[in-house]
Amino acid sequence: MNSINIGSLDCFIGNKTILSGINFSANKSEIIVITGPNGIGKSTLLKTILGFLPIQRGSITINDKDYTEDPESRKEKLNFVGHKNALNENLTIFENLRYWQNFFSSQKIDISRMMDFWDLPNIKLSACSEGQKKKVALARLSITGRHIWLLDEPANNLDLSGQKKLVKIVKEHQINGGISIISTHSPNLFKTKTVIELSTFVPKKKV
Amino acid sequence: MSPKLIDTFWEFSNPTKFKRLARYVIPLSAGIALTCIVVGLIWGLFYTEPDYKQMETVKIIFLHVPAAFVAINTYLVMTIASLIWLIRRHYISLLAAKAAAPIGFMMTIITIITGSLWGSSTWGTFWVWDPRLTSFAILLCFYLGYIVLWSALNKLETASNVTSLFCILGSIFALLSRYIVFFIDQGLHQGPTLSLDEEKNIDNSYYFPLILSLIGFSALSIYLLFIRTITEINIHRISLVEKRGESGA
Amino acid sequence: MVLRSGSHLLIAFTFFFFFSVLFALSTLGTETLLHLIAPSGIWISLLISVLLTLNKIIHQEFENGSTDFYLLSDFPLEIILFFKTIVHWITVAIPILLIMPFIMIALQIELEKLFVLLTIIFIGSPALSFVGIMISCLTLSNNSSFLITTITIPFYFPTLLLGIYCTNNTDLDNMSLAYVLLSLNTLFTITISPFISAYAVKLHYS
Repeated sequence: MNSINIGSLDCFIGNKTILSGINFSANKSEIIVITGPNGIGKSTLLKTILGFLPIQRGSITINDKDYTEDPESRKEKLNFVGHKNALNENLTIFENLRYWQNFFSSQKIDISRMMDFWDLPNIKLSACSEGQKKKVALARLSITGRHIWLLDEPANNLDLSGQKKLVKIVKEHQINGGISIISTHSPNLFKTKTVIELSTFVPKKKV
Repeated sequence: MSPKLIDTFWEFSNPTKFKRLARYVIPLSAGIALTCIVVGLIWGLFYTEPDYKQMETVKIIFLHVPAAFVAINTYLVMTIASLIWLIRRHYISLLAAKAAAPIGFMMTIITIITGSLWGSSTWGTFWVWDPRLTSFAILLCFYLGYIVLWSALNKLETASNVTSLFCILGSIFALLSRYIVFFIDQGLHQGPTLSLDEEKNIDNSYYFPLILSLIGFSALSIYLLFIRTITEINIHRISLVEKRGESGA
Repeated sequence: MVLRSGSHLLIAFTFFFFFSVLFALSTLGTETLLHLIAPSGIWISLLISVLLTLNKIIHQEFENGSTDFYLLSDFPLEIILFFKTIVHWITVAIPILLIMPFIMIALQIELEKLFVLLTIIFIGSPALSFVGIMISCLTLSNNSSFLITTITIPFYFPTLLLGIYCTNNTDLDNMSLAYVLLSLNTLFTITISPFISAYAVKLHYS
């Protein structure tokens, strides 16, 4: 039942079109990897899908329902990890996750079941390294119970074992029928056939 | 207003049409302002009888009242312009609100200075915390806040929304403060100088020059508003061209 | 949702204490003068404590991306902001209410007035938090607490004027109208603040 369909979407920063005519669709248990050089607009694309940036042309369909005009309810279908971790420095890892769990009421997962994903649940976040923080942010993905994940360069700051764990939770999500849309510089990590190269969508410059 | 008239009003959201309108309004308002202020002030300052109690100082009224009138109405104009920007997204109205703030600010300053000059000779003090004076101090704070906010936010996209919202909220809270100030203290200041009620009005010999300078000041502020708005439009266009140049290169 | 760190609590609390002491010292111990300005002193200290903690609330979360997730979450932003403001009020105003008796002794206010004063500050102070959040949501893109402080102060005039008027005239009989106005002012800000704040936050995303 899970599916997302992007039809000829344009991305804007200010009044400037940076990507145009993006088409792709993902069905149940699919992983889509988005690549491209720095500054091409990977984050912008994900933000546009999330509804943080307005859509001026194109359409977004989730579960065969058109959400183009309705960013408010589209947001409630999606989940996301961005460059910013959105974690409170003064709380412990465990408290951070519990805090965020309160905001996503749809599914109550026992957080302690996810203990294997990080090492020390009771240390303050300000004592963690950037990589550890990113792991916590990734752990939040699973507790929200949403089926479509948008990951913006999730492999940043992660060591090898962290990357393995990242792949593991993405695979787990895939087995549960979820969709992942991942922007990354190392597409081989996720072993998927659907790789979208964004540089093919850059509009031709008018002279 | 008939629908057709409203349609013609919205047409001026187009910069070119606005400029065409400005071509007529600017000389017209400048002419009205010049004649009315000169005639009104000369008539008022030199050809009216001095008040038997307040002597010559009463004549500062011909500066004080119009400036106060314009100061308050400029904020009203800014509020309406900000509302139009937030609802209909016309750049002109945003830039007009931005352009209006310094005019209103200056008029508030003029009101306060003339008022305190008058107060020093009549009440024996430059400033008292009387409700009307306090209201103007509050108005001054909101003008300052608005101008500071514009200068602090450098990106036009965010500054535009934020300042508009500030302006609208400001008008609500300024009104609220004004009524609370009046509730707390009835004050020294005399009642309104002009009212529609004939009985309460001041003497005719003061009335006409006052009305003239009132019209003059309003025309002056309209003139300044149009000039400044056009300048802001040009600045905005230049920055747009510069941006395009950067991205093209 | 109430799970919050208490880092700014201590700062606000200490600041209120220091500021009150400063206020009392500035009269050089002249009791009549102190007696006259003490209620205003309490209000101003409260106001500045609230102001200084404002940018901790929504700004930090905008910086670290938490507002992104508030937008994604199952709750409307208005409700989240409403509860955040309540939490802010509880952490800033309630401790101050608790030490009020000691401050009152220091500022030479009769203890008989304690209950009245506490009531007035209790009904007046939520407006400070709610207005503060509303205005600080306007300046999300600029993280200087100096800017927030500057542009928020004009919006505090109604609350401050009414609050000081009420606290200064606790002896008068016909004050019920002023109390009603103070509570109406608080109610008004509580009603509009979450909507305006949420609108302002969303404006930063377009």
